[in-house]
Amino acid sequence: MVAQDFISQGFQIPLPLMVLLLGGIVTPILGLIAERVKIPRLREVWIIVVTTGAFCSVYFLYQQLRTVSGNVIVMLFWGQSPPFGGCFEIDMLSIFMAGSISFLGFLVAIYSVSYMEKESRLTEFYTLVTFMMAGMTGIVMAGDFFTLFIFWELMSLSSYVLVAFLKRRWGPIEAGFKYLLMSATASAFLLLSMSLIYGMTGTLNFAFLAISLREVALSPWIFMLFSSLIIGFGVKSAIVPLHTWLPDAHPEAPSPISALLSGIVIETGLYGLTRVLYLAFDPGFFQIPIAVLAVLTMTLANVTALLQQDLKRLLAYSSIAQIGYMLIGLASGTAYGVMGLFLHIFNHSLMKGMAFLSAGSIVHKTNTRDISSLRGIGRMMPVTSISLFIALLGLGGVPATNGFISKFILFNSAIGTGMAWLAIAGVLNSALSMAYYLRILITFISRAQGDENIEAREVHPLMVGVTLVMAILIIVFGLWPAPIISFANKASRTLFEGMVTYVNAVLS
Amino acid sequence: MSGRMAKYGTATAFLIIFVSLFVFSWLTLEITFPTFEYTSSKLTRKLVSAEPYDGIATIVSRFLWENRALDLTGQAFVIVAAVICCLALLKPEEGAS
Amino acid sequence: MPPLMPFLVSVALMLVIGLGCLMIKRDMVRLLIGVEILFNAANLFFIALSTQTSGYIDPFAHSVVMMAIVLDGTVIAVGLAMVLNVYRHYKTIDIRKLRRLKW
Repeated sequence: MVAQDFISQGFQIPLPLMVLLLGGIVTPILGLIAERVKIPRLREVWIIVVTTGAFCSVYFLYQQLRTVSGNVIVMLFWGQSPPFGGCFEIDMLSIFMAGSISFLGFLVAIYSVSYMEKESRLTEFYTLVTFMMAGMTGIVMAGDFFTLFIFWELMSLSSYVLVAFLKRRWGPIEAGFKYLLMSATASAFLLLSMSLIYGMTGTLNFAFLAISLREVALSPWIFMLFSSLIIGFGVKSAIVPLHTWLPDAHPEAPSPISALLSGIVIETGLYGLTRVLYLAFDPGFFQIPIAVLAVLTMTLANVTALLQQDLKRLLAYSSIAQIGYMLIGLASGTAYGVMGLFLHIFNHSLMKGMAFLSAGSIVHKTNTRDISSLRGIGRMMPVTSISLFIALLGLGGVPATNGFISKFILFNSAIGTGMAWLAIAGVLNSALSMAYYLRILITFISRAQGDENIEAREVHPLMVGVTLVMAILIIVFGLWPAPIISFANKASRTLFEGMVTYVNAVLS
Repeated sequence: MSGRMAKYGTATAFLIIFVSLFVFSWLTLEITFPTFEYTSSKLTRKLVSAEPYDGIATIVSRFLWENRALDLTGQAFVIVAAVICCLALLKPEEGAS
Repeated sequence: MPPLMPFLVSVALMLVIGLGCLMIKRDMVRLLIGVEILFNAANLFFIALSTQTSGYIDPFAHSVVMMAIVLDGTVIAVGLAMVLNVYRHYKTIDIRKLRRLKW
């Protein structure tokens, strides 16, 4: 698929990426018009149009991908070919991740129309949300390591400022600065790992990398490369010694941004780690270190979450624990385990996104995040509380929710590769996490007693509607998971059997 | 409490610095770096001869624009995003709340 | 072909200096300079590797470095805007005073 004719190739970018980037460029112009000419709600309508367009174009790209033999499309930009030029390489895994990103982005955009209506600087908010989604879409479709780095920086830059958005309080600013410092250090280590790969193989292209580093003996420089990859991708995906920015950043961000960050930005970091590790090394090399990191992440996050008093901080620690479960799938090294990983990415984005949105509705009405002062709120805001209960049950892994299915696949794959201690640790941690989820349930249901009385009514119908739709989707996917499982299966097979097709699409 | 943590923090930092100096000096001086050893045979690399020393800058810039236009476009979007980030952080909030 | 060893030693030294600066210094602007040192260590390694084929220079590494310099410049710019906002709230730029979010 190397372009021979310069004129006929022209401008080729995957359509979701182009929709999101152009939408992000046009939003400031529309914001300026909306302020001068005083059209209300112009920016909100535009972001809903952009996210709907992105989701539909992911569907069109999926249909186009199914007609291509081998299910891999290589898109070259202006006729420049690898190994010198950057390219987009789209396979089933990219479509799966892009679908998750645009789906969650669409729901969060509808929610934030009503949540952020009283804030200032809304133009910048919607522009940065669009750029963050464009960066994530670019990461999952990149075929070259440096293209991935550029879109990684686009996503990170937008997320630093979105965390620190409500800048009249001291909390978001402090959390945003700590997040920026740790994440910029991780980007520097990612660039260092790119230079090590370039030094050893002479190229940064993913397809050429797959055939270069496979049968390499273990030497200290390979170990250094592996460590800097773990540091570079691990700070963004909150693996345990590097997770300390997350419990500060997620509560202080505005609630739609918390949902996006915890639902899909962390998982994009984990996608990057999966893609590079499965391309560059063979799975026997990194199974034991990733398994140790998985157990460390799950245990530390669950134990610390038991001590929390703040609702959103507890959900943030729960996100770190879910990343631990996903690392079990990464450590398994088989197609079945990686299928569990990607299925859990999609399910977690639905469940944790919806948990943060419901918590955001509650915080929006009562202006407090403390669990013990929210006694009895379940009786005053019934629909939001029911949605939150369903999300928490899904996160704990109760049957009939989609969380149960993905956790079952993950633990099953851990037993299948002979690391039964990993599965036992996972099941124990899952049971431990139900303890603090049930604490929230009990506090919300119990009757308000004594002198603490909070008054709250149900929130705006847009916000409630989004959380209710996501709750229904969680139960529907829990009882009928077949389409999502088959899609995740196709996505995970591209890393194993599809590797030959992937490499040949660039090399021929 | 924070004084004790500050004292332990500085001691831990110096310990980490000494250990990493030791590890890095062993790694760079004892073990040779496998420079371009794992290049696959299918890779063709476009190299520029080093002899006419003055013309390298124009050759590199022509390489950049001919072969890396995708990354340059992405970089343009990153710069636009950085400008909007700084605007969002430095704009005074009107009394909109 | 210049030897790689001095460049490797300088890259390792810059890594240690950058990490040490991040761990020890308490002024926020100095922490951002430490991040910049880490980025420049990786850029130096790219440039050093481009000279290692004897008689030739690889322009691929040079183009990667030129784009990476711009990218980390933008990160530092946003970081400095955030330091400005921190000063408005806390009236100091000592990072050890930013301890209000704990546990």
